[in-house]
Amino acid sequence: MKAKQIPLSQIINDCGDFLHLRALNEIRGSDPNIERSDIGIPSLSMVGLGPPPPRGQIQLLGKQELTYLEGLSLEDCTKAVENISKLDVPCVILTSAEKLSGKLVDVFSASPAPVMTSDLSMSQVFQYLSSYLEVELAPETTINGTLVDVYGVGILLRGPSGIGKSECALDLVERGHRLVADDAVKTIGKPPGILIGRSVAPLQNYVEVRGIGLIDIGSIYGIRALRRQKRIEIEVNLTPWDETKLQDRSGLETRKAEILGISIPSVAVPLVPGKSISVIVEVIALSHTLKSYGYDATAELDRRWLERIKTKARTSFEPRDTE
Amino acid sequence: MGLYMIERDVKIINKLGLHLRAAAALVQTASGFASDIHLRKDDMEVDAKSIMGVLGLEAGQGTHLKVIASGSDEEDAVRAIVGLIEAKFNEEE
Repeated sequence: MKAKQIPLSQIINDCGDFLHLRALNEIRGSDPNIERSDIGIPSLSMVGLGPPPPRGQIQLLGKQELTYLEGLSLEDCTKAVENISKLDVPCVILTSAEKLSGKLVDVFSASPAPVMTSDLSMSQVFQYLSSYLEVELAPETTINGTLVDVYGVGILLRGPSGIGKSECALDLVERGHRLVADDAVKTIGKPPGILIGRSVAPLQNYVEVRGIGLIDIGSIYGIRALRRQKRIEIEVNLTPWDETKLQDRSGLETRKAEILGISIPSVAVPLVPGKSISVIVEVIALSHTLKSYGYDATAELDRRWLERIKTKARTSFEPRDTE
Repeated sequence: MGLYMIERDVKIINKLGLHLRAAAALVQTASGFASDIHLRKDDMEVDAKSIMGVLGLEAGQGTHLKVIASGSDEEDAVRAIVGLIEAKFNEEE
């Protein structure tokens, strides 16, 4: 997979209004690309002590840096700005910069890298921008599967084509859950270990059901049945029933699936005629929630059993409750 | 999954590209084979037996695709799909 990068113009488009960004100079040459999701605060590079900022990384200056630059002579100030505003720096953002002196405006406007100002504080710009960049630059793939939000848990239904993933999603929507994407799930891996899925743009809200064709879940069930994107928490693998294959009968072992190098729990559900998959998926979602609250039913049963063996307890009926 | 896997490049040449009717024809053709068949466009790979996946490629006229198949009838599967695309899905334009 090739490394992702985003053009500066896209960031200005997406975050410009929210971050109150204003350009100090024109972009020279082509639209620069941002290649890194981390953001640099180049105080050391500015005074000539550290290495120059890495290629493709946005640089932020805050109140402290600007006050320092303000105190320098014009010559020193120009030199300090030259240290950080190299050609391969895609953008320098001056934060807490509601009022800039004429000297700073002149020096920064002359810089080869694009410079923008914002009246917001450095930490505000930093937080918003880094979470934006993390999502935009995250590795991406398309998964063959169906993503549903069941009781707030993102469940990715997988299995060979024709096994009934879409039908299961439809049944879940009927029971009040929400569809995210059918059959093709666009997935990003957000560091350090979160998978987020959404549908491929033109297919949003549609489900393909064999025998009917494509149906628009939005117009049949309304907004209640839809969700734009969802964290993928569990993979449910629908498999054909195979008498000879060993099924997990205790639930003590948790299998894992790996997507984009991120591991999530995986449950294999063998199919038999007459079995309600949607109810099983609901139980998987609820038991996942229970586990994340710290209660593991299987482990608890195992513990209780061992306890009773140790104390040699007997199972006896209640003498009064015999009806 | 077969032992081998074959790939072939193909260009979408019909005017409307992989629109709904063309996608349906492709999925129908693919579903007639036992092999695992995928279509790849840039970084995106989808199951050729899924109409949602194929539509999701957003492959208009001029798009380059890779047809990837593995299984017992992979040769025939790739030939049939490439043939269908090159025959402009047997549609009138």
